[in-house]
Amino acid sequence: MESRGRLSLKNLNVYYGKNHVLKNVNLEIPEKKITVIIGPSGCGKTTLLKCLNRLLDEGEEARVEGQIIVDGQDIYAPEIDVTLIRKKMGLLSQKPQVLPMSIYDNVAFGPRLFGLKHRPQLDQLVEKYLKLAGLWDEVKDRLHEPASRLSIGQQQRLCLARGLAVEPEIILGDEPTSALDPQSSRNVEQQLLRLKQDYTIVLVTHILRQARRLADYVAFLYLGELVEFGPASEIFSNPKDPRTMAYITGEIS
Amino acid sequence: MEKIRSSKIKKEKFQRLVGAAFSLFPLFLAANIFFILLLKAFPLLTFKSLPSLIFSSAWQPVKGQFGLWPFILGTFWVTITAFALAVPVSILTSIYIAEYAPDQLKKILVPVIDLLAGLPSVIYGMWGVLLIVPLVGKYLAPLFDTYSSGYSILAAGIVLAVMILPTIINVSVEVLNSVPMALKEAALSLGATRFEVVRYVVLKKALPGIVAACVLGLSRAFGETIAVLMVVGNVPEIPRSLFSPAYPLPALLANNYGEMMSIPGYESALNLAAFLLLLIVLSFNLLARWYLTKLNRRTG
Repeated sequence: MESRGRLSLKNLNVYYGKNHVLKNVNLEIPEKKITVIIGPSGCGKTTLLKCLNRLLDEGEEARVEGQIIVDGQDIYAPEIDVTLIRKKMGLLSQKPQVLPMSIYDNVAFGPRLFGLKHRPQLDQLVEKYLKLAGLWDEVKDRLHEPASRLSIGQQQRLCLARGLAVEPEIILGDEPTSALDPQSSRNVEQQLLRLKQDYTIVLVTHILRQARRLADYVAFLYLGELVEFGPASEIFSNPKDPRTMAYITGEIS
Repeated sequence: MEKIRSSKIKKEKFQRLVGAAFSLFPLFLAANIFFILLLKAFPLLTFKSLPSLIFSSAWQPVKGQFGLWPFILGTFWVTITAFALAVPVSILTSIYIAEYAPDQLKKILVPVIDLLAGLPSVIYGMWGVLLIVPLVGKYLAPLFDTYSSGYSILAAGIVLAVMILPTIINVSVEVLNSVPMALKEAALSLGATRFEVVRYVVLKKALPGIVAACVLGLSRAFGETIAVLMVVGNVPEIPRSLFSPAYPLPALLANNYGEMMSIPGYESALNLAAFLLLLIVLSFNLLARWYLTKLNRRTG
């Protein structure tokens, strides 16, 4: 088995009706690193992220052309089981979306979907992934309370645990700290930095300082185009494209 | 300057006062209805005990017998039949409309359902007489080896179910649509299928709202008068089956109030019937409200 969790995008184009939102994007996302996608709002960052686990199929009419290869498989090939694709990727959304059930059931939701019913095994999983997301100590005595009673920062870490529990290879984050207070944001960031040993992480953010703190690689999107991609140090210290330069110096935002 | 300011403050005070007075009006109205019915029912209660009126099934006003039990039972039979028919259909329909239906179909379906919700109930009554009553009498009753004129609890239940369907569907669709897309995406991204998302997440999130929609339908069913009295047979007997006729409380009131008022105790008995109907609807609403708060507390 070669390189699990490797993502590559080939000639990716996305249209909403006549609107061409992603223009011929080619990108190799390295495994077990944090790749941060930056760019001004409306540049297609979220669309790009949603392509990766085929969430664009739901919702409004979007047309996707090109290929996204995950572990050597084109995820847009017709014979693909989309639930298995999504299972390979955990998603953290802008606002934490806890399911309307208990903390325990939130984490157990994914494993249960795929047929795990054995209670002791579920207990173990729940504990393991809550620990991995750095939430276990705060919730271990109230696992069966509704998840909605957690603070918003705890909810986001619960979402992380829930996503990890389906054993993905890739973690996708769509501005995962934008709804959180600074303390909770730092906490989520720390978990992500820890998790990159085992997972490929793709983050969308519009906070440049966050990108500097977390990124191993940076992709700069502008008006649907991938302007520049490379190691974070290079992009931030020595961008090749004038538009990238303008964005990271704050001239365009 | 000072003057203008103080007159402005006075004006605002006045506005607030008027607003308060008007907003107290519904409260006053509710109390008024409640007490006027009670007051009018009272004379009968001076010479008959309440339980003997409620639980007796002898209804012979001329002989001074005012047993309301058949009417109370009739109300429940018809309402529950309608409810049992309407709820599954409307929940499935609203799930289909909210989660699966293609946009073109939605564009036709939603306005038609709105239209149905707004039809006058007498139209439903006539439709019931023309179609449902013969259907029940000629086809459904023989199927179960019984005789029925067609004017029956089942006919009333079907007509009533059709009448409350649009209300329940409309509200349920709104509720289902209010479940955030991001929440559905969260469940999808864990590998759930569309159906699993609906089953485990959307319905759970929407449950309190759907219950509220059903209660709205139920309240309407309890009180619906014209359409029901046109197809239910209006016979003051204890119903034996869905194919028997019945005589629900609203029909009793609409058919008789204002007539033969010279019979002693009659008006009073009808007012008591109205008061009971009020109590039944009220207690169902309170029950539903209590259940909803419980539900909300549980899922959050």
